[in-house]
Amino acid sequence: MKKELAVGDSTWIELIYTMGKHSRETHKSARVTTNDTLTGFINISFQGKGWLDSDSGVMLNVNPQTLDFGPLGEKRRTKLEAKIKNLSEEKMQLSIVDYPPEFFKEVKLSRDELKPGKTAKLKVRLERETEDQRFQKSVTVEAKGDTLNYRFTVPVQKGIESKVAAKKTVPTDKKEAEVKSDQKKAEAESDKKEAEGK
Amino acid sequence: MKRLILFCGVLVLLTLGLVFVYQAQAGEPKVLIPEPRWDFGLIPGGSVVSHYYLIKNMGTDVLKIESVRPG
Repeated sequence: MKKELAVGDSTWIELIYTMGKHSRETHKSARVTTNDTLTGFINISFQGKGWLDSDSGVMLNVNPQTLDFGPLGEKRRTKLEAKIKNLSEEKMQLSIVDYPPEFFKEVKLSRDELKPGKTAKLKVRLERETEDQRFQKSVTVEAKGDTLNYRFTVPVQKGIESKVAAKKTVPTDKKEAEVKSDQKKAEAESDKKEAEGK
Repeated sequence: MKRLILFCGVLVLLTLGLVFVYQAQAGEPKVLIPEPRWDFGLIPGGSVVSHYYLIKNMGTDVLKIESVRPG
């Protein structure tokens, strides 16, 4: 992230969030302060809802839910795919609504229209420069039907050790969000809302 | 009469020039985040997700990002 922007210039602020292992809604925000004294500060925020395999009511199945390119140094995989199955009885339109700018070589859906019971594939291909990097990114997809409207985010990662990943998924209800840039990151948040053993 | 008109014309031009120079010197940065709110939708429990917010300088002076902190 650039710390200084010339007139007409732009940059990106990356926000990273670790979702607790639960199915509750989450809202978080961060404050961006600049030398624009007229505007003061700007709040950026996000929301999301935990999605567990056991959740009922969601008429989509995504498998796997996370695209994991494995540990660093192992056989290089450059592309992975997740299957998205329509469990509803209505036709859905699929679209990719978000993925990291200039990070992946390719992010695409095998089909835009998903009939009841049918499956589409979300394909992610890495840039050559990112093949040996450790990263945690994500791709957000929207599925719209006549009455159903889902948005879901598929984490895409590499170099995240399974033990670490498993530790992160322990349902401690610990949530953390951090905002980071290419070189510097600002930790966003770590709140422990609920007591252990609840 | 012609001299008076000429004098007034020069005066107006001079004033406009001064105003322009003043405005150029008194440039202001203007921050814009076109999409400050983001909806991840459903997120697999226990996973890590990320999103990039675009930040632009729409002003007439250098914009400095001083901090990004939890709200």
